[in-house]
Amino acid sequence: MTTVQPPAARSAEPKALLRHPAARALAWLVTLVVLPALIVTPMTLHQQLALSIVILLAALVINRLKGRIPSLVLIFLSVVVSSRYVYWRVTETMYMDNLLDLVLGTGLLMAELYAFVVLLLGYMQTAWPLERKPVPLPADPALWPTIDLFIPTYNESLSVVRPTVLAAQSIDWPRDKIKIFVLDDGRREEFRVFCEQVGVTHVTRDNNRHAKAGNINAALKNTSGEFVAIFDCDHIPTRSFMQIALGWFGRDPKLGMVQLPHYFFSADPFEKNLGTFGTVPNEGELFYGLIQDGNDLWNATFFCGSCAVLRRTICEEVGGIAVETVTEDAHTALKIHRAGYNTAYLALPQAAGLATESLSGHVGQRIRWARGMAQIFRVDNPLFGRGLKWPQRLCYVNAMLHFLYGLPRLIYLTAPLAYLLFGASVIHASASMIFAYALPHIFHANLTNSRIQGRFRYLFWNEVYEAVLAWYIFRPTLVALINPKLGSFNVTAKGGLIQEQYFDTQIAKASLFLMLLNVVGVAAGLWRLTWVDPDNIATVWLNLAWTFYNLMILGACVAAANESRQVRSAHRVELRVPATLYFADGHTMRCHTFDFSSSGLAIDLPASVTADQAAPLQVGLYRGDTEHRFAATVRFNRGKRLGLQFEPMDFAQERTLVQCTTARADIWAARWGNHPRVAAHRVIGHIARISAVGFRDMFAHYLRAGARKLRPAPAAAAATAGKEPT
Amino acid sequence: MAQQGLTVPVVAVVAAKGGVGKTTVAASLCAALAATGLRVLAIDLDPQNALRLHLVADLAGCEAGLASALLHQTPWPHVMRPGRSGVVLLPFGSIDDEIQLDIERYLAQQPDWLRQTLDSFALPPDTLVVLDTPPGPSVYLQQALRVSQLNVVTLLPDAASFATLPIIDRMIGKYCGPREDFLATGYLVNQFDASKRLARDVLQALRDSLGERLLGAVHLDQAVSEALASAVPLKSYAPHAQATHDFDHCAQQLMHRLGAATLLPGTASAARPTFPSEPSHRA
Repeated sequence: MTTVQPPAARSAEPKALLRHPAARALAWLVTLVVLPALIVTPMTLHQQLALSIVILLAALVINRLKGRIPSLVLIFLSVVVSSRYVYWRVTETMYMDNLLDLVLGTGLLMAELYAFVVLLLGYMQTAWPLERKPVPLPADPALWPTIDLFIPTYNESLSVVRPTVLAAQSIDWPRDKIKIFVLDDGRREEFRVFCEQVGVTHVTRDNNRHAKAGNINAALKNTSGEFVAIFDCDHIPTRSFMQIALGWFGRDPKLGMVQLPHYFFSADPFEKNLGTFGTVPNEGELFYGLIQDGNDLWNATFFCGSCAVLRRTICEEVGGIAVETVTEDAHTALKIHRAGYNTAYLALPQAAGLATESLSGHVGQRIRWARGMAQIFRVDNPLFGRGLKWPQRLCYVNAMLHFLYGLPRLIYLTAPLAYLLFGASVIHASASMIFAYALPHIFHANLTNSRIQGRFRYLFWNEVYEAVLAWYIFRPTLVALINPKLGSFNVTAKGGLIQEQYFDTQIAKASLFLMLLNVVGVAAGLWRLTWVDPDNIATVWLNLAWTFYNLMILGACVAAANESRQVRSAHRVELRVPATLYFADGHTMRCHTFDFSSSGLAIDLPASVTADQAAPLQVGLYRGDTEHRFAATVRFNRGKRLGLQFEPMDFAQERTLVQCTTARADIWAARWGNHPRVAAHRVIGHIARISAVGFRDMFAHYLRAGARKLRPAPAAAAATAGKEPT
Repeated sequence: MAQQGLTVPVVAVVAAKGGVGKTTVAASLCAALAATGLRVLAIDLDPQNALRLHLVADLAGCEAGLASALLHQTPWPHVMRPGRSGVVLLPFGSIDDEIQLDIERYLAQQPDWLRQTLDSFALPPDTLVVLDTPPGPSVYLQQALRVSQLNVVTLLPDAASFATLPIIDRMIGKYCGPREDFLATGYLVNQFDASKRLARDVLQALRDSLGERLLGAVHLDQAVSEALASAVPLKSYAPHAQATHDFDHCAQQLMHRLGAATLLPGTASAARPTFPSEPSHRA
């Protein structure tokens, strides 16, 4: 185990104690002697229970201590307990006496081994986040390097790309040292005109080979800046982005890439449909908040395709952006590492963008990531080949293994059914032995992960996120593992409009099927509880409890497929900042914004006002101490909520508006990664409530659908269905 | 000449030139400070006797004021008026121009008159004194700057204000600089209009040069003049106006600089001002 090793020389926080030779010797002694002994010693039920309780109490005491050393000890205890469990599972519980048991049992064991490996690799990856701080640039801007800023786009609308371009133009960097290029693979006249008007370069090529990677590579050939910054067309950079990101390049000449987090100021489909925006850390927060920072310790920060800066010489040396797979970004980083160069991560949101709009779009994006990672695993496996250090190999392997969760997750969601439906004994052990081994394993893993990840991922949410996607990424990853050449690049659709609240049965189909199976399983379990299976009541209860847990997770998955309606075409982002209203008669009002889009603002007023629709007024927004006023007209006036539409603006005004609203690192940074830790029972309670809503929505949907079929007058049925709240 | 510090903090609202809304600023700051639970005594040192227009409903009662008390015509308690928003006002009083010259001659001979007078009031410790002064150099300004712990220089975001700043800074340096009990000077930009390029630039220049010393900017707001015309305090006339918010903000900044923690009584908002020399309501 590497967990008690001192951090690498790059660590920002060296601990002299851990570097002491005696500490090292002790660590090796523990790793080579104590750990194996603890893992393999066979025990009776009572001995195992006693050992579990002792370790559990130790963990609970240690968990009260603050700091990283107790976290490492907790990781160590979790590794011991889980290894003991896995060793016991492999050596004691696999004596199957029939084929069905053997096949299903092996399946479950494989899923558990997968989870165990991912757990261990995850611990290694996140044991000691580097928490790198920015390095200041030289005081004289004349010494700053030249930058080419690329904004690749393919089919996104101009309204999405516009603010990104305008924000890029406001970046604080010597004007003659930064050039902005819109790489338009859609070759659109509208974009060409806009770029010309606003004063940036519109770049096209005569083919679309290799999608985004090919687009960037083509632009690399025609540009010459020392550094290349890449922003997805909807990632709006802040003014300070480059000054934060570039400093480290000056300090480390072998640094090939600096990545900053992707921050989304709108709710992703999970957050939108489950109502968890701002209250539950979203799917991306774990990766950018913890995993990338953990990778950085091992010099294994991945390139994520946007909000990153590459050193041109190194990027060109590894052949530009990788084109062999559909996750060109991660693969490019792998090539940089293989060539012996470094990457860095700065956990400071300096750009923000729109999250994927619908669950189907989100699923599509994850399918691409999963397929791409599986492709890299096949065509350029990080475990083999030159240039990588072992921790780097393991970080990459974990990133790829992570996306293979599809099948194991499906196995977990159906495993208890083997017994409930078929009486198949997939774990050959008594219920009490399973309790004594499995419970500590599950408990320690959750306790430790909740301590390490608490601010970035709440317990059990992982399971919801994965369960929704499991079925959809299971097939593409399998295909990619078999033949990495199959499959194409799909662009993530953004800025779309969900017209009506609807239940995405297509996406929910897998969850609904699994749900049905589990409901049947519950029925079978209840039947077994009566007179069928009197000798194995404990086993039945164990499997029933598991099934109920699965149903809870699946209920939340179904809830996630209930797409909430989006009211307006321009994407609206909730943002509460001070504002001032200037009425035509010279009166003013101090107020706060409620949300905004590129076309207007909604305002929360301290008191209602008499302002007619289409009344002209001005709204003052603040950036720091500086106020900027924008002309607007009233769109609606409902009590203490005022809707405003901006008057047409020139580019300078639009740039200022972007600086007052979307390009606000000060606001995003305060929100990001600052979730309070929440106790496990509260998380479970929350998921259970969401799950109940999911069940309700599903029944409502099918009742409506059924009613529509039964009723002869389709117009009337449609009218009621449209009004019915869900 | 006794130079020991006063027991209560004194804030002087000053301006280098007229027409910057200094009296409005003084009155609004008084109201905002009183709203935090402090007892506020507003003293009008300006012969225009205009502070009463902002702070007192009963204008007739302000004919006799500081001037007549100074001339020993009226006892001090009789010239104090209970004002709106919990502020107690000591008006200047309406006087004849020749008497005004006499008073100014007297004040020029008695540089510590204001200090001694304030001492004689024996104000309770949670009181704050706000002085309104006439624009530009005058004996009144001298008197005010000899006692103030904190000055609020009012200016407009325009070239003239910017250009006349050195006049007031020189006087502050002369009268406040050497005093040990003097804390700081804060600057307040009044009638700021963010739609005017010049206003934005001047404000930015002031921010850059003054830094922390800038208390804040108060937006140009129709409600301010309307409140005066309606003889209603701004805070009640337009509680949500940006200008009201700005004055509150400036008052907080003021309190912060005064070290508000030592000022505020434990149960601040409960007790409204009860001055030891409680003015009888009608002489």
